[in-house]
Formats: sequence, C-alpha cells, structure tokens
Amino acid sequence: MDIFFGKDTVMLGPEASDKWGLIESMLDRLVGQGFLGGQTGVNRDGLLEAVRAREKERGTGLGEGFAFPHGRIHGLAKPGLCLALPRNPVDFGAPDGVPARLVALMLVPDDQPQVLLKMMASFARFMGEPTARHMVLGMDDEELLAVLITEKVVNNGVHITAGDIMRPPTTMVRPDATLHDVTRLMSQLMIESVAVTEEDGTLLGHITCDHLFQLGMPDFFSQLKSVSFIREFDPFEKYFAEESKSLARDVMTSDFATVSEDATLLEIVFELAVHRRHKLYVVRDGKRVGVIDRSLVLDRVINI
Amino acid sequence: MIPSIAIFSVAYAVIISEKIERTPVSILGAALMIFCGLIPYSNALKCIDMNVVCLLVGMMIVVNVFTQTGLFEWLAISIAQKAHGNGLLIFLGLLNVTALISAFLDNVTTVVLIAPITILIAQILELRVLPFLVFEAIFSNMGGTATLIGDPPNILIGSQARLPFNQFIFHLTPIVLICMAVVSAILAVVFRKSLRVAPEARARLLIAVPARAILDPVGLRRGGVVFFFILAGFFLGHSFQLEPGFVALAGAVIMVLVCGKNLHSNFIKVEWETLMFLAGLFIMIGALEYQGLFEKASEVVFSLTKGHFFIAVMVVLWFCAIFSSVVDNIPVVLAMIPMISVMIPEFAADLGYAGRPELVQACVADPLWWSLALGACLGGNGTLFGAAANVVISQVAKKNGYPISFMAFTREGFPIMLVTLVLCSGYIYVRYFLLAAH
Repeated sequence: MDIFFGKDTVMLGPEASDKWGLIESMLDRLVGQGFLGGQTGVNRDGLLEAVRAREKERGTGLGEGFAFPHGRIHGLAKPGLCLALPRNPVDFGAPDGVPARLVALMLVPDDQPQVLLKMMASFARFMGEPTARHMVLGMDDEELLAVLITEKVVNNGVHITAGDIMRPPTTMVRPDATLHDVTRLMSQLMIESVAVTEEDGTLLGHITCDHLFQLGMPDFFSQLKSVSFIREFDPFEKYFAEESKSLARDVMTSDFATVSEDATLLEIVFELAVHRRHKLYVVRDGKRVGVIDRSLVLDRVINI
Repeated sequence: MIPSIAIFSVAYAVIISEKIERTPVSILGAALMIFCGLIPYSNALKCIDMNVVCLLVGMMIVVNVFTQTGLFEWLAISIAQKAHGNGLLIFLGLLNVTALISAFLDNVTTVVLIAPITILIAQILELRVLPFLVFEAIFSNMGGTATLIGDPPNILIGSQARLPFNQFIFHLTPIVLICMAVVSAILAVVFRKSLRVAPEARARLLIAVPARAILDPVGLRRGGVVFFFILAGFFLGHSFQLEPGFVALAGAVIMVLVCGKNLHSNFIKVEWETLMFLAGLFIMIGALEYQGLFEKASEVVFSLTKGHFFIAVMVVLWFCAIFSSVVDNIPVVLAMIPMISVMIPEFAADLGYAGRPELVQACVADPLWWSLALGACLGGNGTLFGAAANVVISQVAKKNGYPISFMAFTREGFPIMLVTLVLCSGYIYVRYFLLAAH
C-alpha cells in the first residue's frame, strides 16, 4: 500500500484532554509533514470536518485500547496515516468502554475505502497478538515504531476476512430455555434472531422472529391470499399460547449459515446478498466465535 | 405380451406402493417398454395424448390466474354470511360450492384453495373442522365427475373415446346432481345437532367484509369473461372440430395476457411432473395395447359375464370404483379405456346392433363409457388414497393440527361411495336399459 507514513507521523506520548484534541494534533502533524503538499482543493479544515463527521456518526474505538479515527476525503491524492500512543488513554467510545492507548488516524481518498478496511484489518490482526501489543505499547522510539508498523501493517497486504469484521457473540440461549424466555430476551434486546448454543459455545441452531411467527401462526393462514375481510378472530392467541410452552431445542432451526474466520469478504457478501441470509455465524471447530449481519457489513464495509 | 405385462405390473405395483415418486417410475417403465422393443418409439410418441396434456396445462394456468384474485376466499365468506352464520347451511353451502368449482377446475386445486378459508370459518364459528374438510374432498370428487374438465379420468375418457364436452354434461351432470342432493340430505340429518353455532361466534362472522377478499377485481372480471368464452369453446368446439385441449390452452394464454399477468411465471406453475407421469403411463398402456392385451382381456370379461351386457356394465362401474378407491384412478382408467374400446364392438355384435352406429352409441358405448367415468371418479371417495384431493386435504388438515387417519376418512367416505354407486347403478339401469328399451 502506498501510504504517507513514516517516523515523522508517529507521535509518542502526546497530551490530549479528549479525542477531539488528539485528533486535531494528529491532523496537524500530518499536514505539517507535507501530507497535503502540491494538492489543491483539500485543506486541513476539510480533513478535520470529514473526520469529525465520521466520528459523530459513531465512535471509532475498536476496543481493547485501540481506536481508528478516519475520514474518506474527496480529491485526496493518496492515503495518509498518523500513529499516536497518548500519555493518558483517551475515550473513543469503544464497545468495551476501554479508552484508547493506541490511536491510528487514517485519511483515504473517498474512492479507496478498501485501503482503510485493509489497514484496520491488518492493525487488528497485528495488535490481536498479546506480545505484539505489549511491544508496540512499550516502544519509546518513533523510528523503530514506524519501521515495525510499516513492516507489519502498512506493507502487509492482507485480505479482509470474516474474522476481521465480525462482531463478538453477545447473546445466546441454551437449548432447554423456554420459548417464553427466548421471546422475552429477543424483545428486550430488540433482536431479530438468537443463537442456540451449548455451554461451550457449540452452535446447535437458531431462532428467528420469522420462525416464531410461523410457529405461532396456524398453517392455513399462510395459504390464504388475504385476511382483511375477517374483523375478529379469537383463536389467534391460542396458537401463540400453545407454542410458548415449547423449549428452544424444539423450535430452533438448523437452517442457518456459518462461515469460517478466514472467509473472504466476497464470500460473506455472497451469502448475505445472493442467499438472502440476514446473519452469518462465524465458527471455529463448530463453536461460535462471532457474528456478521447485514448491518455490520453496511457499517464496517460499505459505510466505512 | 408377457414382458409388457411384467413391466407394467411391476411399475404399477411400485406406483401404488408410493415408496418411490410415481413420475420417475412411470417414465422408466415407458423407457423400458421401448428399450425392450415392446412398442416402436414412433408409436410410443403417438400414444401420448397431446389433447389431454394441453387441456391440463391450460386449466392449470386458468386456475393459477383465478387463485391470485382472492375469488375463493370471497365465495366462502359470502356463503357464510348469506347463511347468517347458520352452521348447517354454511356446511352444506361450502360443500356444494366446492363441488360446483370442482366441476370446472382441478379437484386438488379446488380443495387446496377452499380448505384454508374453511378452517378459518369453522374456527370462527367454533365448529369441528374435520367434517368440513373430509366432506369437501368428497364433494370435490363428486363435482369433478360432472364434466369433461372436472377430473383427470374424465379428461382421459373424453379425449381417447372422442366424447365431446356437452355429452359429459348431458350424461353425467344429472346423476351427479342427484348424488349431491341425496348425500347433502343424509349429511343434514347426521350433522344437524353438531353444527349449532353460539350467538357470539355467529356475531364474529357477521361483521366480516367479503368484498375485501377480492384482491384483483379487474383481473377477476377480465378472467371471468375469458373463462366464459373458454366454456363456450368447450360446448361449441366439437361442431368446429376444435379439441378441448386447444380451447383450454389458447384460452389460458389469452386469459394471462388479458389479465396482465406474466406468461412465464404462469407456465412455471404448471405441474409438469404430473404431465410427465401421464406421458409415461400413456406409453406403457400403449405398449400393452400394441401387444394385443386388451383384446384378450375383453374376451375374458365377455366370457365371465356370459355376454350379459348389464352385468358387464355393472362390473365396469363397481370394479373401477372399488379399484379406484384404493389406488390412483388415472392408471385404472387409462388401462380400462382400450379394453372398453374393444368390448363395444363385441357386445354390439352380440346384441345385434352391428351396422347401426346410433344404436351402438346409445345402447352399448354410452353405458360403458359413463359407467367407467362414474366408477373411476366416485370410487375415489372410498378411502383416503382413492383420490388426490383426499390426500391433499389430509395433508392440509394435518399441518393445521387436525390429522385425518385412513380409517377416519374411510368411515365417512366408503358409505358415501356405496350410496352414490347404488344411485349410479339405478341411473344407468333406468336411463340406458329401461328407457332405451322403449
């Protein structure tokens, strides 16, 4: 990847009261090192505006003390990266609530979102290893850190995989949960489907809202062309009441899609778009390790 | 002849065992007949009755167009409202409308369309759903008996025996109406107490708005007009040398275009599997015919009945009915058609009608053909496996939590079959023997 990055865009121990202050100082460093040299139509304020807009949509904290503020800039000639290890961790709104100790500001031309995506994946994989994370966070030499990041991240041409973009699993139900509990959980969390797993995470099946409606709805309903001519139908509640006594294992379906952690982005989009799946379970040895749904792909791939 | 009988018997046994899908069995049986040289390939292709195929394709498309309009829901809910929520009247109304629709549309499609709205109405009225479903299948088979296009056996008989549409109405509709009236009366007596509706359930039904059931009023109107012309084509086609298959297929395509539907998606919904099953069966029966089996079989029937024509007609009626009550009536009819074609000149000669075609038709051909049609169609009511409509209604019932066992259906269907066959026997005797003798 041809990216504007070097020891001069590595900042060790900058002071910042909040993320906005840190972002501005990182931007200043990039611009000060000649990132915009020779480019017309792009200026420092424009960059800041793009990063702010993206940040306001949703925090760019990825979790585990890592943040990736970024912006897609119209008219930019080449991507630029600034790396900062702030003196005090800065809150970037990460899902796990951990403030960022390593912040990578990335600016890319608006027609090159894949560069951003690959960079994020590459960073996440590298920093996912505890020894690498420990080493990076402990470095006190800009040049050495720049060389390391250039070798391990910038020049490390990765392919985006399911493992890079998946969301960690948060909800699941056990096979002996009652349908009453399952529906209550789904309504509380406002989720369309829930996985049924063993204690060790082995994926057994899943239950979707569509599936629940089909269970609660008498079969003949689906055969009718319309029901608008009927104004009142008492036995309706009876059908749902009968089903609520069932257990998750009785009503779950095995009609779900799984992908391995190294499934490519193309495979993922193919499953979601062509096979019209709402959700993909990322599995390792039959155990669920992550989830990818349509909104996640929109968020992490298309709207990045 | 022995190899052809062996292949046909094995194929037939596998088909009725329902262990394997009937369509591949029928096609493989036909292929084996050709491979073994039991019928030349060119002859085999000619055995496939394209008139039947076109008629079935056309009517399947017509049904599909009507299905999308909401017509069936409107009919059922309108009947329920017109009956002011009276359980017995609704029951009999739904059964007779099912029979009426089945006279013009495929039985299976009719019950598939009428069953869901029936379950809904029965649940609203808090009545037992099972009698509604079981007798809808039975009345569907009865209604289908009345016309050439009502039931596949009639389509086959009409095409192979070259009997026109209006002849079916003339000969079969009267006895079907008698059967429906008698069976309705019996059911009214049997179910009069169990079909009483509580006032609050009746009130729930009376607030329904039938007009809202019609989803495509323009399509329904246009489709209705085209369907009228299709029926007119069936009635008048014989005079203009137009086969029913041509009328149905051309009418169906016109209906699709006039109603603004997609021709491609309507052709996809045609049950091609059923048509392939028939094609295979046509070839297998054609091979048996080519081998001269049916001449031999008719000689056996002739000698068994000792040339007594009324007994021969009753054998055809009751044998077909009993056989059709346990196995698919389509192969029964297909096997019987060439046999009856051979029996007609034999009995005509025996009765001294040779050389007098009008007497052969009225006194020999008519009683035999109509006995075959009545036996094959009404025999389907005997057991759960007697007709496709019975099997389909049991599947619909099971999916909705109302399983119908073989015995439960037979308890209701077999007595009805006996009643209707007794009525048919009397009708045949009076119309073709007693009155014809004068």
